[in-house]
Amino acid sequence: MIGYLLFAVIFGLLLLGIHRKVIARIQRRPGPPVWQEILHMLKFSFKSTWIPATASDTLFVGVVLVAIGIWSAALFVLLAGGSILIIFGIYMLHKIVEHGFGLSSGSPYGKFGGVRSVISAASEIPLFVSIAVVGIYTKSLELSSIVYYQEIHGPLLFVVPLAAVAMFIVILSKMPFGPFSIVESKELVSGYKTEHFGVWRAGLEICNGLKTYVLMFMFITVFIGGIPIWWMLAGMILLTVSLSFACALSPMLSPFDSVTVQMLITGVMVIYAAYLGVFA
Amino acid sequence: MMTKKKDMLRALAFITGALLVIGFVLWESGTLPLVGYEAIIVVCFPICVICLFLWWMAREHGEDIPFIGY
Repeated sequence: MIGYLLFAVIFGLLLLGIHRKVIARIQRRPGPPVWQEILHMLKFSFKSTWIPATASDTLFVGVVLVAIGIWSAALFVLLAGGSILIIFGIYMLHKIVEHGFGLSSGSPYGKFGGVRSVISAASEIPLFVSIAVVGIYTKSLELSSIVYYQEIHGPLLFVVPLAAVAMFIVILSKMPFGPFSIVESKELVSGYKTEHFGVWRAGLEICNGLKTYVLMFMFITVFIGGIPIWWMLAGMILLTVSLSFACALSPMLSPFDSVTVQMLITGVMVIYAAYLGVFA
Repeated sequence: MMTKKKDMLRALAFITGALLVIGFVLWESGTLPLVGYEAIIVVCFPICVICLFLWWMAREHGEDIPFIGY
C-alpha cells in the first residue's frame, strides 16, 4: 500500500511534467524535461525553510499535512472501489485546504489566492451534475458498481458523453496553466502557495502528484471502466495530453469570466441531467 | 537548540516510519484489517515525509516578514 502510494506520487508528478512539456511544445518552446516536477519536489525538500513572521504557525504547517493526508485517503477509497461521493467530498475539502494555505501565510498574494479558491468553487457544480448523471444510469455511486455496470453496458463515455465532458472541465480547472487556474495566476505570484516554500512546497508537490493521479484514475474508472493497470497508465497519459492541449490553446480567464463560463456549463449540464432523468 | 530540534524531527520521522512498517507487517500477517493499515498511512505518511524533509533540509535561519502590501 505504501509502495503504491509512493508510485502514485511519482507518476502523478510525472503526469504534471508531461503536462508542462506538451504545453511548451505546442507553444514552440523546448520546455522542461518531463521529470521536472519530481526534481522540483526533491529540490524543495533540501531548501532552507522557516515559517514567515506573519504566518499562523499551526495552520501554516498543519494544512500541508492535511493536504497530503486527504489525497492519500482519496487514493485508498479509489482503489477499494468505494463511493465516488467520498472522493468528491475530499475534492471539496481540498478547496478548504487551498483557502487555508492562502490565509495562513499573512501575505496578500496568498490571501487573494485563498479567496479565489473560494470563488472557483463554481467549478465543483458541474461535478455534482456529472455525478448525478452517472447515478441516474448506474443506480449507484459506488465505484465498484459503476465498473460492473460498464462491463455489461459498455463505457459510460459513449453512453453519457456530456457528463464526461463536464468532468473533464472539472479536472481541467484543477490543472496548472489552464483557463480556470485563477487560484495561482501570475498576477498573484504563485497564488495561495506563494509563501509556502522549501519543505512546505515539497509537501504541496506530493499532494499535487497524488491529486493528479487520483483525478485521472477516477475519470478513467468512471467513464471507461476497470482496465488493466498498463492501459490505465497509458489512458492517464493520453488524458493529460488532451488536458495540456486545452490549457495551451486557451487563455487564462479572469476570475469572474471563469465563474461565468463554469456556471454556463453547469446550466447546460442541469438541462442534460433533467432530460436524462425524464427520458433515460 | 538547532541540534535539539533536528534530533526531535529525526525521532518523529523514525517513529512514524516505524509505525508504517509495523502497520504493514500486521496487515500482511492478517492481524490488522486493510482499513486500519490505510488509516495508519493517512495519519503517519504526511508527518513522516515532512519531518524527514525538515531533518535533511539545508541550514535554517530566522523567520522573515513577507511582502504585506504598500
